[in-house]
Amino acid sequence: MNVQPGTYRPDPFAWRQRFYDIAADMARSDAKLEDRAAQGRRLGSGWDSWCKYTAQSLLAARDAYAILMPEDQPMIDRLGIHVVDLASAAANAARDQGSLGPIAPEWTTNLDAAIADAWEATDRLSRLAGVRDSGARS
Amino acid sequence: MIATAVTAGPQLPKATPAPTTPPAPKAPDTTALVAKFEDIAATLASDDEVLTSMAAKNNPVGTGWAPHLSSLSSDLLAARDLLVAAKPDAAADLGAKLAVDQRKLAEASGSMAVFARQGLLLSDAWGSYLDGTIADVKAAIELLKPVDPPKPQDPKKPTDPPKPADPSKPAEPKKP
Repeated sequence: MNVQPGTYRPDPFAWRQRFYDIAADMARSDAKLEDRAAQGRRLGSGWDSWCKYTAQSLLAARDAYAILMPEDQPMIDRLGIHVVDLASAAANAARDQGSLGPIAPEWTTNLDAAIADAWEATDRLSRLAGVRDSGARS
Repeated sequence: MIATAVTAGPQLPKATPAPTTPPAPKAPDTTALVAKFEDIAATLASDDEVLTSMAAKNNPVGTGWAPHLSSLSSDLLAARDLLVAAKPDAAADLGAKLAVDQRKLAEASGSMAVFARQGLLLSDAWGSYLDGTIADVKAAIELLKPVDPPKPQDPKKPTDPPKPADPSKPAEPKKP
């Protein structure tokens, strides 16, 4: 789903939930990657598609955020960078999936900044929507 | 847990939207945006030429390609945001296409990093990898460029050629 600025105003509740889902999904994936790295396992398949899909989802969420919080340009910019990094990581994943060696160490930190900003965006949209508790993360 | 029937008690505050209204987005400077898209188009065209040549000549990929394409991807994303803000109705489809192009550039950045690290060569497909993006960027430029207004009519009446002398009237002889 692509969000285009204009007269349309996204629902902050819905997009807060979307950011929450993206952040939670990335956090789960990050935990899996760290687990694999700790066990010296290989990357495994499917990560290139996951990176592409997550980049796409994050871009749509960023577009909605840009309409809802136009004054928060630093966050909009950072989310854009994460989209680029995630899409770029897809190519690395495609390469590493074919490798029989253990997972590359950068996979344990690749997602950290994106996860932090997705949580932060969730919180900020929660405040915008007037939600007092943005939900437990753990 | 003890169930209590509350008939009248303090009401929890309801979730209320933040009272602040977001500031109206500034209209982007169209001329500057056209210049930005033209820069991107020029860079893409140049990259396309080099990539085609690299693929044809089996030249190895240098380490500068990954950061370059990553940066170009970010530039395209920023330009696309401004385009959609400037022409929200007309640019909706093009905005979606440019978003895909932006991710393709980012993916290419990752691929180039791998190629450079592993000393891999480019396949011929890379000669056309940027074609769709270039077309979409050109479409954005066309969309943003103002249509030339029709030229106004010249208010001056055209000068009539001098009328020929009426041959039926004899010319008066010149006075000496």
